[in-house]
Amino acid sequence: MVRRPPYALLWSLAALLGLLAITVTLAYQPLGPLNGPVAVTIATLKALVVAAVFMELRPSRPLTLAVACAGLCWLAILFWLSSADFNWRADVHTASEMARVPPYGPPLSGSH
Amino acid sequence: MPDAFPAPQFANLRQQEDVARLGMWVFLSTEVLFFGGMMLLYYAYRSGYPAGFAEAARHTDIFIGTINTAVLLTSSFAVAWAVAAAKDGDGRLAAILLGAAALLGVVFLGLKSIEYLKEYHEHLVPAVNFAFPGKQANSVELFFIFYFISTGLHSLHLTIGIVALTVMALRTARGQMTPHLRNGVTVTGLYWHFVDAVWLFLFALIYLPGRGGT
Repeated sequence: MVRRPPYALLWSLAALLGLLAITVTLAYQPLGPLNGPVAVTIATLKALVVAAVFMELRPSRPLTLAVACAGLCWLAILFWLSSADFNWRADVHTASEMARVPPYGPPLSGSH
Repeated sequence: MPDAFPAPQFANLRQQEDVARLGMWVFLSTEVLFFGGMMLLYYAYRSGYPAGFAEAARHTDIFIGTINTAVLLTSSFAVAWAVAAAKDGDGRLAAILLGAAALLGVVFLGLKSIEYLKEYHEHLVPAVNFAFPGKQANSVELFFIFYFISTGLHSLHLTIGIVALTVMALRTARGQMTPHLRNGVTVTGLYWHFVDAVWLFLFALIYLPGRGGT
């Protein structure tokens, strides 16, 4: 009978609560642009502990691991392509703005 | 024991358990994209309005947010222990732990309700009661739209989880710990841990920005 919690679970809970204390403390430090990435990195670490130990992903079969990673892979593609679009897209014009210039609108005066 | 044999489509109990876990992971992968798409939207708006989002995040209640995170992590621990107890055939302990985790889920929702009420009184609820002074009013409103949609959807998932945990607690308390019931406890646990993991990211995105003066 498992009357006492398995040590792996106890250590994981302690680590998770410790990481929570660290992330809240670091949020108040003036790290400039690093505050955001630090918070998300610690959140990812916590999620990895939850997935590996609580969700028993660490001893799982390869197929289960592949399925668990599939969602993350598709999410990575979504973030990759979308951030490429957001970061490098040229100025967005409204339809009415575009209608005023070639090739959609009338040619500019003196162009022919 | 009536459930000592696997369902007819499975070769053995181990395969049946693997398939149950695999099925839940397939569902959770779709949930990753569901919440992930929402977080992408958050990043798109945050990169457009960094000052407004930092200002808005400072108006969230980090004390309640931190307590709620600790509550969810503890509930996940209880569920993981319940799964271990169920595997060991200790239905009574599993039922107690599942019930405790469900109770912690209720505590989370209670604290979240207090937080929502506080935000209502501070005029931070878009479309219902929103008034924010200064230049950042529009981007602060955008942040709180994301805040209420994401935490609302998370709370909905949590409510489903509380119901599932309660059902599993009652079933394990009532009868013998059969392999089918054990699988039920395992996949319910997977769902609960996932809802916990989603909250870890929401906590980082909602409560922590703007605290360090940026």
